[in-house]
Amino acid sequence: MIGKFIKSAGWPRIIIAAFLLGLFIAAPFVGVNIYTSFNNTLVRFGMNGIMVLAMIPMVQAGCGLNFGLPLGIIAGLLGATLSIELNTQILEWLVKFGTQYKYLSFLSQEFVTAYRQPIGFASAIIIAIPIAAVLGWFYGKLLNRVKGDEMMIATYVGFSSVSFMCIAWLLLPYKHPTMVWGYAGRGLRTTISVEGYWLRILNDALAIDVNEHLRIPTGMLIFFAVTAVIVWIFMRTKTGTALTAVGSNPEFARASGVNVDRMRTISVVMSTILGAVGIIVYEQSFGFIQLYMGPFYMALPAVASILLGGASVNKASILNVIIGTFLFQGILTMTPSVFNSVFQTDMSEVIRLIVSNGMILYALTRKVRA
Amino acid sequence: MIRKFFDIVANNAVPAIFILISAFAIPLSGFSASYLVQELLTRIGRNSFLILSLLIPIMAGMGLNFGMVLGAMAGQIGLLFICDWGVVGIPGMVLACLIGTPIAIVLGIFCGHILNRAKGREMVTSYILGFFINGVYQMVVLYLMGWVIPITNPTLLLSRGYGVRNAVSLMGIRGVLDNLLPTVIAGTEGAKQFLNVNGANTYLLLQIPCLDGAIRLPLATFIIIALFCAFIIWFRKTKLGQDMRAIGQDQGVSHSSGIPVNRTRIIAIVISTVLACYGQIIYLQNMGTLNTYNSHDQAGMFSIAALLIGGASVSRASIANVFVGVILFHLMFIVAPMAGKNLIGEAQIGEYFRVFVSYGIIALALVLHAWKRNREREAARRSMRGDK
Amino acid sequence: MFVAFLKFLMRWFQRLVLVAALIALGIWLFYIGREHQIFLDNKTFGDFKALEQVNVSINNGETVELMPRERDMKKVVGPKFEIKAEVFDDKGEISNTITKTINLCFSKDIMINLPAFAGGAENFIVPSPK
Repeated sequence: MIGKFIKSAGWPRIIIAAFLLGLFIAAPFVGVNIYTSFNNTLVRFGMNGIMVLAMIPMVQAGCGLNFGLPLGIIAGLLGATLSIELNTQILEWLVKFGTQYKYLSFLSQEFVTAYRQPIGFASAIIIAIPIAAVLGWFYGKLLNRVKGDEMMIATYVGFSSVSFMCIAWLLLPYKHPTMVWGYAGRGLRTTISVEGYWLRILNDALAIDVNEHLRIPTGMLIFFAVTAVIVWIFMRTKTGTALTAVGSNPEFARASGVNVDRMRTISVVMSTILGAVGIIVYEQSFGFIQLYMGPFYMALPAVASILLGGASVNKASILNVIIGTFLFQGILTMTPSVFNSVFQTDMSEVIRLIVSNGMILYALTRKVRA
Repeated sequence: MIRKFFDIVANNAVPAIFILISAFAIPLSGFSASYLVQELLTRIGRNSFLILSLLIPIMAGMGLNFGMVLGAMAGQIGLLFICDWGVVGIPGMVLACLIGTPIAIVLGIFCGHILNRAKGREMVTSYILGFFINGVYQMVVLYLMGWVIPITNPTLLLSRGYGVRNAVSLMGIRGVLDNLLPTVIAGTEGAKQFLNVNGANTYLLLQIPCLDGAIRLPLATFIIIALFCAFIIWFRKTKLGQDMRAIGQDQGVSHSSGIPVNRTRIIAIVISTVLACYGQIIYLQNMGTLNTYNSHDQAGMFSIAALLIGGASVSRASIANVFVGVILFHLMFIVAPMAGKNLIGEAQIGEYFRVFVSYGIIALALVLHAWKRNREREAARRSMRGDK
Repeated sequence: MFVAFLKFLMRWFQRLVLVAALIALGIWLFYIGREHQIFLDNKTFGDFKALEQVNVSINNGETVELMPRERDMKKVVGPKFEIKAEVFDDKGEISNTITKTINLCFSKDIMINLPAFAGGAENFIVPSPK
């Protein structure tokens, strides 16, 4: 029984879970507040969850782990920056719609001003989704041509799109004074604060203060849950099952009349959109939009999380996402605090590198179709 | 006909794009010819060895060895030790190689075993392995050195007493190989000046009247690189080299003809890792400073980008590709920031462009290779079915 | 059977010799390539009073002038070096020239107390400062 469990979970996962458990047990003895740790873990879970969720469609459709997540993140960054740049215009349009169409009459000036922040957040997502869809579509077409090498190419598609956008962030005609460099009057800053726009909009929505150290970010968790449910439902629609069929046996899927390439493209588009939404959720909690090289390595934690949760290179579920994100973010929050109080040094960076890449390595060296 | 044209374009697209970019960027940058030649010669000496270390795994069909950073890390550990002990000059360099070799061999064997478990996914696996070992390396260098591993030189350690500093000066071995046989190429005037300053122990290799100034030639480094090239040419003809090429063609056939496939693949990676270790030591003796936590990262990315720019693909790379690549890649490296500055008024753009091109070119080469392979596979399947 | 065993033994012996040779090479490189800091100290040492002025050159390199209570440092590579000290009397003329080859072996940095060195004492090498 135990042997079977170990075999199915895999040694690395058990070691890492035991390590996390050890950290949680050790925490009170070394003077780390368990509530603070739990609070941080929960917040980071909500921040990163959707980006981990973005792995599911591509893994299920047999496109492998989406190392090209930065592409989706870029779409999200475009949405986020545009929502700030066009903030006043968007609000004006909404008021105009409110006066023009009767059924939108609730969009009064007062309403729009009062809900300025949620509208800003929603507009970021609404702008980001079509951009992500277009980018994802091209990305999907590309991946269809390179079957078998998706992961390596995805990595470099991610890298080159990030470095391409570095040039674009400098040249795009953004004007908003909080976003561009003050002295030059153009070129976006490396980090842009979302304060006054949609800072912690999900974190603070319906938040429950348990005590002074623990504040449950209910809004963000609900947002994650809703997204997860949407993905879950999608995977059970006709398209979703066809997609899984393509992943588990492409020859069989082709024979039964499924358009393999189309399914794969859909999965990539979906993954890219989720990546875009994911980064916006991340930013509203983090407080800053990180441009330039910011999204560069963001795929690796997401990939590591889902693998840690029990996914393999060609099979992933929502449960894998939840468990994996919780474990991974738990380790990231617990190691610095516990190690700091024990050894007076922060080893978290090294542990993050070893855990996340060790996990990916473990998954890559498994037999694919056992 | 069209297919043939497509093949030629696909095989040479990358170098062609680069020649085109350089043709625009060189005049824009406004650098003089002698400056460019000097910089290029320095960079050929600095980088070629690292890039050459990639050739053997490609021969064995294992793709681009992103795991070469393992060798680079081994080399850096060797350098850290000789810095601590204060061993300088050529003996210092050789000692660093000697210390790095066993580490590189162990890492190479480990890498080979991992890659044998991930056949068909070697590149992404070796890439992630690089990150993983980077974590271990950081653990060793940042926490164990000065604590478990004795490091006595306080200038090497962080102020807290253990862990190596971010930047380590390699003054003791800086340029020792490059300047072992000091040689210049110079114009008439430049030669006089140069010999006046540097005295009689500099050899004047070539006198070109039209050249202004003098160009230093790292002759000893070039000799080492030439020896390495000769080694690769010889190695291809040995039994082991032939086995590797056979495995690169078809693993199944090789196995049935009695070649120990897995073992040979491990040997290929070990050779590559050890050579990358030496390459990194040569690279760093030219640079003169070791960025303890970044130097190896860049080594892998830049070497692979350069090789691909030289027209190599994932399955086929020659010595010529290495040198064409290093020249084209570094030409762009030198001129891009200046060209960006003169064109748009911002050097940062050129800098980003350079990074974009490095990554973009790797992406492009990988895509072209996978695309071509899939088309061939498709064609093979069609011909098996019997329809044209 | 026996021959096969011998062959096996021979193989390991060869490997052992190779490894030993490489280690020996490493030690030799360490020996000949090590850089040493030679501190030159012109300070009263026991019965030897600080010298009025002493000019020191190492391996026939550049000469350093040391007044009383002055200290300087030179770097040498390799285990052996030659030190030449010219001691001046109070009239400003060379009163004594001493040349000596010192073998450092595997030690790293040393300090030479010049009054003791010039006075012909045996124990002129003192621990180097941190």
